[in-house]
Amino acid sequence: MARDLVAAGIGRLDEQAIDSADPLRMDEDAFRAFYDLTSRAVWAYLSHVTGDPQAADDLLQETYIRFLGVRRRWESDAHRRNYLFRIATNLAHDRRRRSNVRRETHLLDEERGCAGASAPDSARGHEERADLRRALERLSAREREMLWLAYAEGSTHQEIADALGLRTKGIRVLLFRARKKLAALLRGSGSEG
Amino acid sequence: MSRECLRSGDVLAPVIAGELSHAVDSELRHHLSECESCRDLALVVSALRGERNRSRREAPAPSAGLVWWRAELRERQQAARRAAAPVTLVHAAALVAVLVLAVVSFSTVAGWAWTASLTDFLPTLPTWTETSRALAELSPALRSALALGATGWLILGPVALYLAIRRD
Repeated sequence: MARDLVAAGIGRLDEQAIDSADPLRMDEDAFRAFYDLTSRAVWAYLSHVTGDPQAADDLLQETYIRFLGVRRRWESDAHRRNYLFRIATNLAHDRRRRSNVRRETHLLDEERGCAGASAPDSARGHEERADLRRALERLSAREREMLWLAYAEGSTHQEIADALGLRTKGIRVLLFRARKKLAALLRGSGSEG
Repeated sequence: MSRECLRSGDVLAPVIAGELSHAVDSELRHHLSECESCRDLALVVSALRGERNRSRREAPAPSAGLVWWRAELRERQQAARRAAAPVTLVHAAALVAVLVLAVVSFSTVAGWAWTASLTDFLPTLPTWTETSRALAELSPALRSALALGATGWLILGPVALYLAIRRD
């Protein structure tokens, strides 16, 4: 009898969890559209923040799974997108804390870079990418996140603050310093090469 | 320079459009040659934008359907865990009750066996008449509480034992 009660309870909760009438739950079509619009940007972000494309593959899925578990009203598409990046950022932080791994430029990533590049730009483009990756590795995680969101994604200071859980006030100065640091590193690696 | 240049917006627009190298006016070029902050901005933005475009092309994102299915699976598992949580609590409570009962019973029997032999012990057991008389001397409230406790124990004991030993 107890088993029947538990099964019935699971059934009810199951129905509630999968109930498409839940107004705070994104339906499948909306999710597909949102995913197609954002997944590549989130993967690129995770890949550069973690420095590990393989980890980015796993974290990408986890980001969306957690996002789908969130029940809240979205004020706008930007709000929803910022929240997605916030989940991705937190997952990247958790991973870093858990594994405490030194970020490395992975061979796999190099292979992906080569495979993706077209013939004319492969040599120089590949070198530039390696320089950028090395320079990013020498920044703190927070600096990488801010720079990527600001200049790769074109996020505003408010959006960066939302995505990283920071106060908007300090973003301008932090971003300025991080940019200066990255530019110096890029010039240094360019002159070395 | 330790502050953002006021012309950073003028520099940013052609960099994002990928036109800085050939389409900007000479005045902006002149500014870039003199402003370190704007040169940093142009360098960083063009590097990160280029990397973003290449990364997005290469991004091996799984299909939306797969991610949706995994999210559904996760929700079902969480729902099952939530539903099973009270049952797990009852199991734990039942197990504790049975363990307490076992310890009390064992200590009582062990105490009797330790202090006296069975032949010495048997005559000291109260007879049914003596027990009835002793109960009759108790207050009605205490008698009711005792009766209620004994009944509850008789019912809950086997249920607790059943819940504690069943596996599913």
